[in-house]
Amino acid sequence: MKLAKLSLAAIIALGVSAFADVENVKFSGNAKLFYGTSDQDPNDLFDKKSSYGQAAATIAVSADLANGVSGKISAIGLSTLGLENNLVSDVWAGATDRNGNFVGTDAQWWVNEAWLAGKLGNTTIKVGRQELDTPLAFSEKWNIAANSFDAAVILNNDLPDTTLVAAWVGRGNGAPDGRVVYGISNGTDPFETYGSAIVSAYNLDASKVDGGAYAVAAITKLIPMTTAQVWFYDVADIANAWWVQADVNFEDAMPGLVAGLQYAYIDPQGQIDNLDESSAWAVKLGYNLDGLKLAAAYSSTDEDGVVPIANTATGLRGSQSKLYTEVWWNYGYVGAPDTDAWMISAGYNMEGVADLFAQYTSTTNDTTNVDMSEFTVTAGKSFGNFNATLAYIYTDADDQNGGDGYNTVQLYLTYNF
Amino acid sequence: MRKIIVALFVATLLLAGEYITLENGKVIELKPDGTWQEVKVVKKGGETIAIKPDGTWEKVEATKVEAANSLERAVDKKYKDEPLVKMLFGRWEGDGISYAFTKDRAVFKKKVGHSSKVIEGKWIVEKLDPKRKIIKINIGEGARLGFLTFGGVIRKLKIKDDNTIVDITDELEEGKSYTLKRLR
Repeated sequence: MKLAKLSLAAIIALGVSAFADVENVKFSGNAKLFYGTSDQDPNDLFDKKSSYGQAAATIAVSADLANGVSGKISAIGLSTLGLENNLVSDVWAGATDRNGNFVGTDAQWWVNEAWLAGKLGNTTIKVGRQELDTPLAFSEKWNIAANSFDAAVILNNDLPDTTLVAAWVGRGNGAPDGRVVYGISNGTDPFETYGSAIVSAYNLDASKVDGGAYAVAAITKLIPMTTAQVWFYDVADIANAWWVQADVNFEDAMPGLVAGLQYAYIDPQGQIDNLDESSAWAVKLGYNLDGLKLAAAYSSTDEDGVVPIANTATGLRGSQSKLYTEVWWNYGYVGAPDTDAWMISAGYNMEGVADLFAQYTSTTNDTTNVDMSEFTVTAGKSFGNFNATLAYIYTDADDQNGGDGYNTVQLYLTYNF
Repeated sequence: MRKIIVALFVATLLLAGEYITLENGKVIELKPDGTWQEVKVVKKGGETIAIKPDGTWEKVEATKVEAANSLERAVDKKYKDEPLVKMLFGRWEGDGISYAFTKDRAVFKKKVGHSSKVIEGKWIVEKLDPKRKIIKINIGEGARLGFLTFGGVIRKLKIKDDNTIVDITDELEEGKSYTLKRLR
């Protein structure tokens, strides 16, 4: 990728000097160190063989230009800092390149965002490399590095309380190995035509995928107390998909009470046309008041489906799902075909002490007979711009650790500047 | 207050010599012939350099630019007395996002994945649009050199009523806004 070969200094210089009438140019970024360990047999917690760790640094330059035009360039670097010598045996992100070679221990960096956006009346156009947040194609931010897209997005607000969205996604660096992004070795390009990750997950020919993906959506607050959204996706030669969601905030009737309803449908096309359609529905009930958040949700996926109801940008296996019942850590279960799932969670911001959170999720699958339950407790504490989050996860899944439950401990350290 | 600002302006102007930083962060050179022009100020090693529109450049004393920056700080403080800005004082919480404002300091926290993005420090009002009730704020800025700012975050908040603000910053990046309620 030519862009990845540019030096950071050159990119920053381009970003700054190219703009003649600049209101504001901000340099910012963050540094992260993530660590995780589990006691899956035959290892104990904190054993090198069952631990994974990585560091990341992001530097971003954003600018407000004249006439409502803005832009951003961001680069991210990954490094194990040599942790593999003593403490860990795996990484969080960028484990393999697109050819399947393990490159996780290499120092690697790439431009993860480089976009310009302009406003024309009530219409905003954003073009370039960017992160996306749509129900079936999005940047997964749970990992130390998020996947991004080469895309063009148009947002229109001419209708009252309504946003119309049209998007074209050409390429993405989402990896189908559960680690969100492809790694880079010797300047290889981690971005590939959108949809390739899905095809690769079925061991089909990713080189035949072209055309990217198109999406249109309407997000409206015209219905009292409700935010409703309808999305349609056309991933060229891969699938057509629908996502419908309504989130209700009963603010006037009962402050703090919220509810939600989701429906998703994926119809495989092209190389995977022989697969049956997938669908899912989910409901949620929640209560949010003064730092306390309670939620309960249930979801069910169609028994005949094959493609999971999850992020299409990171393949299929282990992709995160936007279904309300999604687990905290073990992605890939909730959106799988023929799965019933339920989830309860509670979060509380104990002012000056910590942000506390707990979630229990249970899934059952009658087709595979693989059941999974996960219980997670987290505590997050900020010290100025530094945030530390400690997580404990208990996993009991029929297809993990020989069917025996096991413990996982994770530490997330983030410094923003 | 206005007199104080004007006095500060004049005093700083004398200190800064021919370079001053405007309210919007741009640096201008006051030329001997009574005209002015915008310059870009950059750091090269330990030196401060002003790049002029005609492509020429000259070294300037960093203290002059820094003195100009202190003027900008003084100017920015005036927004803190605006009723609309005062409405921000207190604690606010939305879905995965929160703010805490006092007159001098602010804390911005946003859930990102499994951890949180937190920026804490002094805050200034970059721009105020009373008609649309939109306040553009800058929290935790580490340094400023002309229109270049280092560190912190810029957020755009729309005041809805006494107990509700809408964070519209991420409409462009994430395609969504956040509604925050005042915490009691």
